[in-house]
Order: sequence, then C-alpha cells, then structure tokens
Amino acid sequence: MTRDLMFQDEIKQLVADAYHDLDEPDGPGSVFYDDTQLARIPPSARSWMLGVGNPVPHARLRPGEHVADLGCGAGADALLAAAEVGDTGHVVGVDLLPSMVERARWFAAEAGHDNVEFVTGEMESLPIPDASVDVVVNNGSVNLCARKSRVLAEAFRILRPGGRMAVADLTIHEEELPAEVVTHPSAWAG
Amino acid sequence: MSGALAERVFADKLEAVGFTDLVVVDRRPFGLRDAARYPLFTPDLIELMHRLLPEERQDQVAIAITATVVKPPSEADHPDDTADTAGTDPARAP
Repeated sequence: MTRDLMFQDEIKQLVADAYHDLDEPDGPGSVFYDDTQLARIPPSARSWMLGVGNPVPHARLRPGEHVADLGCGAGADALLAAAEVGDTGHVVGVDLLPSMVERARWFAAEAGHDNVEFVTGEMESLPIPDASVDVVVNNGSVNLCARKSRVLAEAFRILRPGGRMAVADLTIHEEELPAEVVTHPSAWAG
Repeated sequence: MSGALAERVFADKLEAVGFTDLVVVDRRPFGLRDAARYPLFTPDLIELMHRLLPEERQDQVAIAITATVVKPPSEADHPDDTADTAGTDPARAP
C-alpha cells in the first residue's frame, strides 16, 4: 500500500470514528429547513440532521423519480425525497456507517415510508447500478471523502443521461486555514 | 472541513467528471459559531480556531454552498466512444 493510500484510509477511519461516536446530537443542520419540511421528518430524526444545507428543494423532484442520497447519514434528506417522489418513486440512501444506516431505517419506518431503502456503502464505490437514478442529492459529505473526484464520478455514473444532482457542501476560501487547524483530526470529520 | 475545496476547485471537479449546467443556488457563511453547533467539531478544535484565526475571519471560516448540475442527456460527452461506434456501426455506414 502506498503512503497516499494509507493516508486516505486514515481519513476514512477518522470520519467513521467521529460519526460512530456521536451521542444524540441536537440537529444543527435542521436550521436550513422550513417548518413544512421539518414536519415530514420524525422528531427523533431531526436531532441527527448534520448537513450543511438543504439540497432537496433544489433537486425539483417529481413523482415517480428514482433518487439516491449519498452519505445519507440518518436519512432526513432521503425521507424528504421519498415524500416528494411518492409511492411510484424510489429513494436509496447510502452511508459508510452501518449504525447510521440502521438509524435511517428506523426513522423511515417511523415516518411510514415504504419507498425508501438504506444501504451501507462507500461513496467512492456506490452499490448502485449504472444510469439507474434520475436524481442524486448530497448534503455535506463530499468534503469528508479523501477521493472527491472519485465520488463525483460515481454520482455521474449512477445518474441516467439527463439526470441531475443537487449538492450542498462546505467550501473554503482560496487562502488556506492555519496548518494547526487543517491537520487537527476533528477538522476532517466536521 | 479539512477536506473542503475552494468553490472554484469544486466546480472544476464537477465539470471534469462530465457534469454540465453548474448553478450555485445558495451560499452561506459558515463561522465558528456555526461550527460549534456541530458535535463533530470538538471543543479543542473550536478553541484552536478561536485562537489562531483573525477576528474578521471567525464569522466566515468556510462557505456552505448548494449547487445543481446535470448529466448531459446524450453520450456525446464521450467523444472517443462515439468515434469508435461510428466506425463499426453498420447503421452509420454510407
């Protein structure tokens, strides 16, 4: 294994450990959503909203569409998408952590959605067939991945021609943050 | 946040894999107070940023963007594949 690959694995492990160790957060990402959207998400799921934006409305979902939520976490955006695409549509949420996937399944059952499933997988190697979804949504997880181009290429692969993606993520200024901040382990997970 | 890209670089990567019609539909400053609400930013990291970042930078450590892109409706974005097909497809023969 090259030094570069070891570094990528270290990043992945840092991120996985940080999310695995979370203990009932208070839903900081919920501030981006309006009351109508929040009413569609079970209260227990709102506390696990850790995104950095609100991409689903910008996806302009239509009934019957197939959607993939990459790095879905506890599934809030997937649940919103499931409500938008309706019974004739389908949503698949993918997350690295089995514990987060289990949480998302629980919240989906609580919300009463039969048209959404959650699977464990890496965004760099999605367990989704080529050209099989109409829309990809992603909220705050590209920056957590070491191989960003690979993640974006995977999103492109699974989209049907003419498909679209709505992505929210953190970006930084052109001038870099201090090295002590950038190299801090928790700066990779946040 | 250590893995966050500059918006320009993020846009370049989206276009490099084949996406088109990039529109940044939302930009929001993400400051230290925002970061502190996320448990993934540990207290010692927040304290470190308070100490090291100039005060004028602390309200905008990063920018949360929302963007939309499109996968082109045809495979014309792969010109090499098109060239190969054109040479072997009987339907395209003169």
